[in-house]
Amino acid sequence: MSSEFHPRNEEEARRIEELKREHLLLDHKSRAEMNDMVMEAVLDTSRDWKIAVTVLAVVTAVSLFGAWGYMMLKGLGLAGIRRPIFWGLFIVSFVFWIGISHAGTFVSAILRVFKAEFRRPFTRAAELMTTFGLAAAGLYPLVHLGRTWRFYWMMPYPNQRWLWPNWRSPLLWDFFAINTYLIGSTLYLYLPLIPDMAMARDRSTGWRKKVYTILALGWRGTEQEWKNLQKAIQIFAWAIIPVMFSVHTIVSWDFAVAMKLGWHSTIFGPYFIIGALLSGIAAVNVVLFTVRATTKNMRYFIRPEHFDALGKLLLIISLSWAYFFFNEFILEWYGGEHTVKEILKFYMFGDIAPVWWTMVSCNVFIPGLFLWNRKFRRTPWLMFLMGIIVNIGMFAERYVIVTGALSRNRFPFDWGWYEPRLVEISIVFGTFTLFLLLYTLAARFLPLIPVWEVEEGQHSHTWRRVGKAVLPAVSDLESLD
Amino acid sequence: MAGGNGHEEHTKWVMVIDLDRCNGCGACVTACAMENNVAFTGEEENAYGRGMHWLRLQRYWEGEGDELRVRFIPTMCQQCSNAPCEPVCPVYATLHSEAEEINLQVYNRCIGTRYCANNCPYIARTFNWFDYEWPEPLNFHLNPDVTVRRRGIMEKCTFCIQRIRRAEENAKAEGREVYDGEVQPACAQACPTEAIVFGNWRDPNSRVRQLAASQRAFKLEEALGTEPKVIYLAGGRHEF
Amino acid sequence: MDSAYQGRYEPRMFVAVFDDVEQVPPALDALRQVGVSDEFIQVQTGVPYASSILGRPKVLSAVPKYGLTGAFVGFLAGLFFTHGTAALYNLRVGGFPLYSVPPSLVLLFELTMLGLLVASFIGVLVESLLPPVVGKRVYHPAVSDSAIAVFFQTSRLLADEARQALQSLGAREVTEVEGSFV
Repeated sequence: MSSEFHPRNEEEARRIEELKREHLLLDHKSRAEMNDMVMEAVLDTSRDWKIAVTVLAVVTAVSLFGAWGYMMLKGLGLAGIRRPIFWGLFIVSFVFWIGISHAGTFVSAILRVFKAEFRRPFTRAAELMTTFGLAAAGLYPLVHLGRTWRFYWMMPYPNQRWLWPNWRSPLLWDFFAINTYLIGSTLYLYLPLIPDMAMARDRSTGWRKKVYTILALGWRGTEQEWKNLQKAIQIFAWAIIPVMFSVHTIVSWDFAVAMKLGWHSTIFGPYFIIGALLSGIAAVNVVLFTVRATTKNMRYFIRPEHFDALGKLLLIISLSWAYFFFNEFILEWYGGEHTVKEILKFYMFGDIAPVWWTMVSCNVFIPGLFLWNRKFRRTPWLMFLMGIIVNIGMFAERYVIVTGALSRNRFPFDWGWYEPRLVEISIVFGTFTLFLLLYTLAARFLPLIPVWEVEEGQHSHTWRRVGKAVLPAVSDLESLD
Repeated sequence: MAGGNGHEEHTKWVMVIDLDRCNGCGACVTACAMENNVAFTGEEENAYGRGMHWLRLQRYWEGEGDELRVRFIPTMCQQCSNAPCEPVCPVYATLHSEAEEINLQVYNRCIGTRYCANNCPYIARTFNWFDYEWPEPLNFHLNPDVTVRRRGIMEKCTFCIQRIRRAEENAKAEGREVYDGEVQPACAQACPTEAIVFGNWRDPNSRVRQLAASQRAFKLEEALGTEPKVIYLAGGRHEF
Repeated sequence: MDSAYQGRYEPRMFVAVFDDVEQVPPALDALRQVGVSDEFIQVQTGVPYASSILGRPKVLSAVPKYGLTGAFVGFLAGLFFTHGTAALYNLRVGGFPLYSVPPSLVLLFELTMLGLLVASFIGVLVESLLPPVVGKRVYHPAVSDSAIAVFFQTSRLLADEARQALQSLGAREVTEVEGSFV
């Protein structure tokens, strides 16, 4: 369905060229060309890439697994946690990574459900972020255990004493929610990947061909195969959204169900979800910029229009976060309970104040100041910076909620202050390098662009003349049936 | 049997602490540590908030200069009937004993999520941050009735359950009821001013019952609805 | 009957490759005219085209049924983990009743969704007969370059007529291939 539209004059032709530069879906390249571009990117295992992988692998091994092993051997006391702050940087990072993992599904599933066309090229890059973010997050419930080697006691399995886990515990809800989300989002990543694996299979040799052949599952693209795949993708896109919401809600319930002032808040569910989306969408910007900068041919697929759209999303979510924050903070303040006031005072003026003010500036003031600007949103490196800033802000938010609230309680005798120590900082740093390592490996193994979806989008765009202007029109392939 | 706490046939152990009598000597803290094999973490760690004491003396200063007064509140696990620590444990390491109506901690089941400690409004729980060694000759004093805990697990006051059990078994062997005052937790035994009294709430003539009838009786953070089993008698602004 | 004669009537597999989807509906009509009915035609595409675009009979998918079944199984598993295990080992915590409904809703939801998602995925594999276990299936690598491969099964007797018709309608190539539809 190549769009057979002939411009009447030079003005129209110029306008079309302009629109094409702006929008990937209108800048038609043949599927074969796009396949070659994507495969070239995948096969580009340059010396720099190998060095990056080696360095990341070594750093992760030492910083994450080395430090973790050492901590298991010696005891959790190597971390800075103490009475009354029994949860520290590990839980902070756990919540942070769960938040990061949300945006992948959000931009992919929600934009798919609403048929937002601009999503097509970057859904996979975002979904990979979900899977690897969850891989990083999933380590923390193990890392923070006093006896990690007994972690399987949280799983429901028939044991000798017929003793099952306590399903009333939010930690068990966490366990199930995270597993559901991890399995669901991995399958959701894999489903649209199958046709691209078939594409890679048809275009590779050696060990890659063998692996791609296995992963392509013998995909051919028959009508029945497409129909089943599309149905499943539809089911996933709808069903993964409530799962995604439930995961971060349940993470917030770890705090909200507790008999702990500063935690026991009915607004925590949506507040955490908005926070997760804020950090997640910001992280999508960071990832897209990095992919664009380090991977061949990605400048064609990932364009300023995508950063623009994500920037608008980021602005809306930053404002929503401010709304929830205001609700959470000010209303608690006016509740007037003594201990709550002590906690809020501690946030604003206590030892944790620099973190708290970082949170407020990075989450609200800075995005609010700049994201209104279209030029800003369309400049990828600026959006990269914004992504980093917002994520610093969101890490600070979790730090304040977890350690700040625990620092103050009903008995001033047990007030305390927590400072992270080297081992836990090393482990947290290690999960960042683990994420980067997994992503770097995936970037040279999986086609980062869902080529068939991009082509599908191009098919549905045609030119239409309305009055004196020429406009792109979108027709819907899927709902034709 | 709603809630599972209404077993009239069982004993219900409670503790009464008279704050007017408490002079903050700390004998209870020491006795508790000796009885329950509580580890010593050293001065530095203790100052950092990693003391393992199951029973601690909360100390509050009031006033200034000549008016300076000090207040002591010995606090330990309050053995709540509706304990917030229990439902949050994913592996049932802390749960309710239906026989003694106290709050159990199963050391061998604990995996160290530390959620219970965060959810305890009384900050009564302590965590084994490391494997602690008992320097000579302290290692000889270890109480054989009490498990020695390893790193990575949570622990807390048990109302000296080993003493409760021993008294119950003795009474059973002699074919009688446990008499009032027979069970004494280490803290109560060591208290020189008899500020701590322990006994059975279901025995209408018990000393705890009579003391708790005082108008000075209160429970810590009663409004939370945790129904603690430690009853304090108000008072105790001591000259210093 | 000599073998050459016999071979002319044996059903054979052919493929016609088209570059543009617009060429496909007339090509399929031509095939039907030659006498190849829809059940002996398989169209492979690099993009999901609706059946109406290709002019093919409507395709149905049973994947939602798998999803629903999975959701139901997941729900039952959730009931077991929440209320069943509570009955297997009575343990009291925090003054809660043994069977408390609100906290169980969380696990019921998660396990229902897990069942739905996993079963939908399995549904795709089973219903599309993926991965192939036995036999060689027809495939043309140009499909992943978004060419449209029309596979049809007919005798060699009719193949020439079909080939001519398809080539005149713009088929890039029409060749005989080995393999089966599924």
